[in-house]
Amino acid sequence: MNLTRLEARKVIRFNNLLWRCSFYDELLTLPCYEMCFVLNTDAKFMNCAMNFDLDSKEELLNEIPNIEGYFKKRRKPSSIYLSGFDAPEKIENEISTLGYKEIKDEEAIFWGLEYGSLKNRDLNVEGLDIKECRTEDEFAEYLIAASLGYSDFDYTPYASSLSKLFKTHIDGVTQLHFAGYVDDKPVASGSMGICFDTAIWINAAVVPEYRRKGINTRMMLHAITEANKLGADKFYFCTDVDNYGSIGSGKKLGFEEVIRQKMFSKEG
Amino acid sequence: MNRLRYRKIIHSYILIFGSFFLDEVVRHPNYDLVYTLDDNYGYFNCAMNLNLGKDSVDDEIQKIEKYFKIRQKSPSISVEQSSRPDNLEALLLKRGYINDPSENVVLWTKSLPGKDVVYNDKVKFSIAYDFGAFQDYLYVANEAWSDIFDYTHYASSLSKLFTKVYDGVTSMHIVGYVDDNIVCSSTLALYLDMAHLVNISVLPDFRRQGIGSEMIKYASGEALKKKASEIYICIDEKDEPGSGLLNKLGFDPEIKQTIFTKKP
Repeated sequence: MNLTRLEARKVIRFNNLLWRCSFYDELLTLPCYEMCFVLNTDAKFMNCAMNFDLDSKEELLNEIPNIEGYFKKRRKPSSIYLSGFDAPEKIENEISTLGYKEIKDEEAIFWGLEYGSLKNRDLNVEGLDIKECRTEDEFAEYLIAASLGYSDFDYTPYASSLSKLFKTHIDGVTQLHFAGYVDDKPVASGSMGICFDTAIWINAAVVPEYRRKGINTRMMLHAITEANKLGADKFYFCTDVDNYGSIGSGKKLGFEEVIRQKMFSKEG
Repeated sequence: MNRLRYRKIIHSYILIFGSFFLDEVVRHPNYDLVYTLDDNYGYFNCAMNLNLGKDSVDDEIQKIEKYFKIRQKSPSISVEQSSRPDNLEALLLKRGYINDPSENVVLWTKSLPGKDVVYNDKVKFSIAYDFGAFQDYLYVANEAWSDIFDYTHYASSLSKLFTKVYDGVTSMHIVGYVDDNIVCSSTLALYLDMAHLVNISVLPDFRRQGIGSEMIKYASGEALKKKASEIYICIDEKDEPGSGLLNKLGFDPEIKQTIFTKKP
């Protein structure tokens, strides 16, 4: 799956709009880039500018002080997330001369799939029942699965963010929330955001003792099928480069790497 | 023409309008889509701020047309000097789009500080920070537009202005009083270093007394205090009194938005 620059920019923008429904406290959209901010975390991919579409090096250099001013007020280091689709070319070289250094730990990959290339469509996981959460009570079970599914890190600062996901709407984004059950117990969760023909899978979580059983793959397959009924035919999800579980699930369904984002930050 | 500056101004203006009149604003990276259920005005139902390559323009126009078809509106596209591709206007005419000049608008701009941000004390201005004070704003906005068009459809939209806000937009609702009588209102909205003055209303009995000018000067002063570098006001292209006033206050007509609509 080869993306054009316009398609790549749409994927990143739509992913940001969807994240604004949950984790982000702020998302500033500008025609030429966007800036996200989250009070309760210093994770740089949640506090950075990204998705650049500038005509020249001069325009970039004019925008950097605006970006730095924005993050300075919010007491975060200035960070810039770059993909190979950003313009102007060689932004990386320009910002390194301004003191930005690459933060390897925050490198991420978007994986993409066209519906026609979906593999393992008949995949099934015995005993797994997947439901779309349409009421507050159903979504409460999604929250339980998400909370337990992320129990390997402290999820506390994000609890309200996930709850927000059910209530926050952004124009142009349709959200589907899925919970997976085994023996009537919520063991997995995930949300699909649909923007026109593009769907993005976020917030996939499986309770630790239920991992390595294909549950996340089956959840993704179910979400893809449901999103396709609503008109989506291009699917994406984003992971850390070392999230081998998610990457494996995606590859099994035919996903390929389409965008790699590298983080550059200026401390102090 | 600085394309990036123009695109930022248009985008910020749309976000501010998204706080009241518009029912939807879809922030696509290469254009913005706006939709309003209760109005067929092309300006409220169009794609604007297009920045597309020649190879993607046909595909995107098809998507725009589909978006408006679902919403049962005639597809409209706003063309600005900053729109890409450069031949967008000719391309739309070729595809059956037509322009109704009565829908054209112009964004007037002025750098801050301007030479006349000082205002006199004929009118006492205040910012409606609480919902009680905002009722004065609503009263003026409703009364002031009553001789121009039926405001009924928009009553709830204006109220929404006080409660709905987009990330990055700071809205200040200005109310002006003469001898304790409410006479005018407007909203100054800031997005980064850009300031827009929208929804300018003066009660009919108080027009032609320089109150609108005073309010624009006051708003310019407030925008400057908030570190805005420019202020913008959008009016119809054919609004001669408005153009005369803005010209007198040091504004320049900078961005022209021409609406092209494809009638069924």
